[in-house]
Amino acid sequence: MKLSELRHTIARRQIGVAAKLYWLASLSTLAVAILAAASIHFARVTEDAASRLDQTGFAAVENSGRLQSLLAQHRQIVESAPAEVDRSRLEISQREFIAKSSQLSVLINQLNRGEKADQFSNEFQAQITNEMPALVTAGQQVMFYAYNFAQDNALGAAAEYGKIADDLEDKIHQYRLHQVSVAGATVSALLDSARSLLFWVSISAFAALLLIGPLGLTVTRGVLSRLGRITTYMSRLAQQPLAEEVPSRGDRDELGDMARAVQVFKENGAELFERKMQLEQVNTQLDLALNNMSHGLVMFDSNRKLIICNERYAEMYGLSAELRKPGTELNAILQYLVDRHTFAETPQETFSSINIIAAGHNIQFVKSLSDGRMITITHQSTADGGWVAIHEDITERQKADAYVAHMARHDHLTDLPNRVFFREELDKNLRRLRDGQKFAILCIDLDRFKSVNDSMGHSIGDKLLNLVSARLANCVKEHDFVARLGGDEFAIIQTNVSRLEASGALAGCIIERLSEPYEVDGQQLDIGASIGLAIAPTDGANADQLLKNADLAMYRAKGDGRGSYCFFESEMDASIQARRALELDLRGALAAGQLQLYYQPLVNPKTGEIRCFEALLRWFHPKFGQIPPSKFIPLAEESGLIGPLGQWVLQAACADAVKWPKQLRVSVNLSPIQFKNLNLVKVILSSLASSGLPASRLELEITESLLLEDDAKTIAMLHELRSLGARIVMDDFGTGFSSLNYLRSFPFDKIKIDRSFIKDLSSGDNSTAIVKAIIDLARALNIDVVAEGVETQDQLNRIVAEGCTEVQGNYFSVPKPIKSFEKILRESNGCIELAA
Amino acid sequence: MISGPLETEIDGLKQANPGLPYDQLHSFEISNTRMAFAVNQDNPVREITSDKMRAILLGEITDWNQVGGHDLKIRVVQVREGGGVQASIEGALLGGKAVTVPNPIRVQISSQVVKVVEQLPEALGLSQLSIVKNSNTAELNLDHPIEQHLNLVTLGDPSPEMLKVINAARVIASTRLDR
Repeated sequence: MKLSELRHTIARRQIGVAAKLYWLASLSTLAVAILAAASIHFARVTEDAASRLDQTGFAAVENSGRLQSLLAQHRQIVESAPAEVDRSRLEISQREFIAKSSQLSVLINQLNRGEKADQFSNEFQAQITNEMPALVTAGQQVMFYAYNFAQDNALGAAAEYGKIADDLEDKIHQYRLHQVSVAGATVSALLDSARSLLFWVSISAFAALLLIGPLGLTVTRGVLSRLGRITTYMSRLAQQPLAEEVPSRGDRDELGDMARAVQVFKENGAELFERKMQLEQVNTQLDLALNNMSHGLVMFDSNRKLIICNERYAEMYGLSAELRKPGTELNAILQYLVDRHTFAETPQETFSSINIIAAGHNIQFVKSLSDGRMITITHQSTADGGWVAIHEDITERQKADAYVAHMARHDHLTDLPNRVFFREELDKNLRRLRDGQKFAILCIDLDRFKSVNDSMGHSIGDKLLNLVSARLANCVKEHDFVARLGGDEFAIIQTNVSRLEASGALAGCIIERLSEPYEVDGQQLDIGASIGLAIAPTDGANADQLLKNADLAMYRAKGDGRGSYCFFESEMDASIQARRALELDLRGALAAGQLQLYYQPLVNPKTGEIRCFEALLRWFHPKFGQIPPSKFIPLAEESGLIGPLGQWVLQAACADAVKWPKQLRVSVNLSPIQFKNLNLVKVILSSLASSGLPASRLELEITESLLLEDDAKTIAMLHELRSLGARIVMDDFGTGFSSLNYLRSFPFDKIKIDRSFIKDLSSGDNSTAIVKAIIDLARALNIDVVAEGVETQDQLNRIVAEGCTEVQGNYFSVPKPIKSFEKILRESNGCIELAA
Repeated sequence: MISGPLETEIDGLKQANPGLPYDQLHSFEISNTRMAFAVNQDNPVREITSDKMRAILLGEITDWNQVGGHDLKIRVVQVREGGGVQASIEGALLGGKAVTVPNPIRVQISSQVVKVVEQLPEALGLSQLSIVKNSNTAELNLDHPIEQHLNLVTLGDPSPEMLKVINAARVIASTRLDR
């Protein structure tokens, strides 16, 4: 039903509830008017009676009583005076007499004022007024005589006084009786009036009751109950939408109109409810979106009053609930933030920036907060003169950016500047360089670090690098710059260098400090350092040149025996570069198949029987041809390539040997550097296992230099290898400082007399005696002896004559690929034909 | 109790009630006290002869200056009905004549005598020594003091209970009355 229909329905309505109520109300009003008129009438009658009673009856009775009492007091004073002889008391009595006389006069005068007094009263008042002076005069005489001790006279006067008083008392008594009678009549009239009032009130109440009954029934049944149903329905409707119809909507009266109006409101309400739900949903979603924003959002109107802000904004600035209320002044919020010292800037700057924003400028800026946070604030003006501001906390992002920037320029392991940063610093130092100024670049390479890293693992290696970094940092001055260029390479820019000696001193200090033992995870580690120095601008005008030259100097230092430093010299450039290039070539040689094993037989000199082949590595460079081992082996040892090269040699030698006759052994040389790798035993085992070669067919040749360090770990590894069945051979025996001592430190299976002794056998010097002594010693120790480097018959004869059990040398065969020996091994049963 | 001689009292009574058995009356002396004349403290006169007192009480001397006092008229204060005191004075000092003074002051009881004397400088009170002593008045000493006898009178012979009362009254009077 629409409003127009509702209006039409109301217009067609017949006599309704209102007319009934008006009619009943009119009747009720009439009854009330009658009741009021009767009540007023009898109230006035009652009032008149009460007034009369008050003004004449009661007042007169009261006054007569007071008069009687006052006269009695007056009389008592006068009549007691004659017997009194105390003048002081008489004086008091005199004063009281005067006072009472005065009060009597006043009271009598009051009696005379009565307006509605009857005749009796008037006569009484006249009489008493006339007699009062005589009474007072008689009393005065009594008081006078008594004061003058004339008791007889006083008694006489008192008698006269008594007569007058008696008469007055009698008149007062009569008057009092009269007045009581008058009051009684008045009270009777009052009672009659009250009874009439009661009658009329009862009649009116009965009439009202007769009217109120129908009125009440009409209101209760015709209005209230129906109204109750409608209001109940409305209450329920207010709580939830209702499908059922509104009660009484078909009635043709005002309540029907109301019900129909409720029906209209219900339909409109349902529509509004639906819209409200939609709006609430939108609001909820909006709130959800606002309060889940990672950014703070705040909106102000043109009067700088807060319209809305999300929770993130309040959280960012620690705003209280009070300050988040819409309508809050911007200045109040700013003052709160200023009071808390939220911004790093001054209060004046804070307030002035707001003026710019309020002026309608769309700006973005970054604010620093006192607690270290960085907030990007983007202001966008709105059409109504206000603005919306987005506050983004970019602290973490900036930290992340800073971290990324830091990591881009620093080594993640040691946190030292990396190569990039080092280059930047180098360029900067070059740009700042003034005439006469110098600075040094120190390229530091750790000695034996690769060995530690390979043998102990990367975890230990990393910790060691951290310790190295710390020591380096302690060696330099405040303005010097330490960087890790990668691996075990470090570099330092030493600024303010006035003399080369200072740089040398720093390098020496670093070498000394880095060479001190390290303790990592309970293990003691020993490494060293080699340092190359280049001086700017003398040794290079740009960073690349300086770095390269410092690097060359470092390689020279390594080549000079490690643990030393070397200044760059222009002539070292070419040779070092060549060496460096060769090292790079060597790294690729293995994969390129440029390495090959050659074998040289070890022969029983008496039978020509081949007992063993010594595997010898050969490098065939595509450009330089065969590179001698004396050139590339040290290079491999220095560069750390000896590890993979040695492993390849072991695997290849074992793989070859397993194909040979079972009595033949293969001998492989091991570098001391390989023993730094604690996995060496595993590598050898792996080679044996993968090839299937029995360990007893493997001879491992070491040099005396391995034992120079008297490392217990090395000895233990040798014992372990020997216990596996491999034979341990001392190579180049006799060239060391204490060769004999080494024989005591380890039970070698074989010793190889150095070729220098064999070479000199023919010259007749002490070599023969030495060789003889070595052979005798070996025999005494039950150790096999090999004479290597036998190249002539004479040398062979002499060796054989001394009792040497094995020989090796070009006299029998130069080192050759294993294929070259296949025929011998196959056809001559492994025996070489001896020339002798 | 009577304060004068029994005969004097009987004479008085006979005038009013002549037919009573006065011969059956017996008096028993309880105590005797002295008559005293009270004067105001401001009155300088403290001694007086019996003659002059007689002259005063007979109205012959009317001014205090006649007996050495101030120039004031003498006003005698006495109990209205006379009583034992007046009877004793009239008997002992006036030879049975009645006190005749101009403008006397008569009071109801003897204690009022000294009360009036205290307030009037010209007063001369007729009273007993014990009353005067207990008042705020001065005694006007007479050269021949006048005694008063206090008696209890019984009708017929006293019973034992009456005798107990008489004895008790004598004990009390001996401690209370001045002589």
